[in-house]
Amino acid sequence: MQASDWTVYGQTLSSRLFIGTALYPSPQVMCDAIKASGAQVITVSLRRQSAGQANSGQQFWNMIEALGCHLLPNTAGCYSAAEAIKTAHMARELFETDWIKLEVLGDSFNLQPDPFALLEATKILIADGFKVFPYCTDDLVLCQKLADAGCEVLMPWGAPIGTGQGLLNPYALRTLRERLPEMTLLVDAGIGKPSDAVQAMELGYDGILLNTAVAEALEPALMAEAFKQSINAGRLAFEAGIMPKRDSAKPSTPTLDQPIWQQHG
Amino acid sequence: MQAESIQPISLILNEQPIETTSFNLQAFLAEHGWIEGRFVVVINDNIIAKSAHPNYQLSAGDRIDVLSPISGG
Repeated sequence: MQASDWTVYGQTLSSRLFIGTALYPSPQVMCDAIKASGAQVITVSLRRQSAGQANSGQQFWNMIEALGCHLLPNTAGCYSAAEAIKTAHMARELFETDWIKLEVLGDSFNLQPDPFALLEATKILIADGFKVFPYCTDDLVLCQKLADAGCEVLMPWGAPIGTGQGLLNPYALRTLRERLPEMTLLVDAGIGKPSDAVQAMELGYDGILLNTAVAEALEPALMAEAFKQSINAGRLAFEAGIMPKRDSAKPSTPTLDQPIWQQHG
Repeated sequence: MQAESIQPISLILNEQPIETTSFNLQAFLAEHGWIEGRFVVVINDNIIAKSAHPNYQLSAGDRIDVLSPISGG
């Protein structure tokens, strides 16, 4: 059974997994993994290429074009609002999409987003007609301000990029979900294994963006399939309604009409 | 009468100094392998739309960046 469809910036999607195109052992493994994941949105980037390497960018383009997915270009590696804005404009020209995964990093050790520069760049890019997918921390006030700026989607981290540590602060992520009930939320970064994705989806997150956990698995296509199933399972569980935790036991077998000597308390 | 030789101009292409006698952007790009396909050209921080390439004239000192798609997370 498939979880319900959802909408991202007016685009209806059935898969709730966004997947990256980096770090795979080979282009063929990347294509196989993306197909196995069922993802309909893939992240891409752009770089200068030296003369003589003009064809390598085209080869990559041909591969991702054949996958038929929506493209979400990123501004990876930018450490200032100005740099990220410039990269976003180049990405729009190159990939012919106004979607942008906005990364503005503030620290090179844990690749933590710079919340101040991120907000500044978000405001400018939205005014320039972009549909911004901000990669952000799980700070509630930052996320509220990004929503106020006009983001329809927020992508808080679960843990630093590439660490595979899972959801380091479930309380903060749960709070975001509760305080921003109308906002489309994806956990981006830090997901290491399918159970991390299930946890986020059971919290009511709308989707997951990941890359390393699949690309660095021993069998990327198999792991992609595992994430596909886990994300769907987590969403189904959320839609089904998860029972509340209780402090005391409650019998699951009815006690009515039991012999008197079997009835306790 | 001796024909006047074309003097090359100095440019920066993807952060590398380069000299060229191809003053037309499209011809310059073709000379370096960017003929068709997916790439974006930025000159002195301004994106140059593909439709403008055939008529764009390069000037000495121009800083040209050519960017192509790569994988990303």
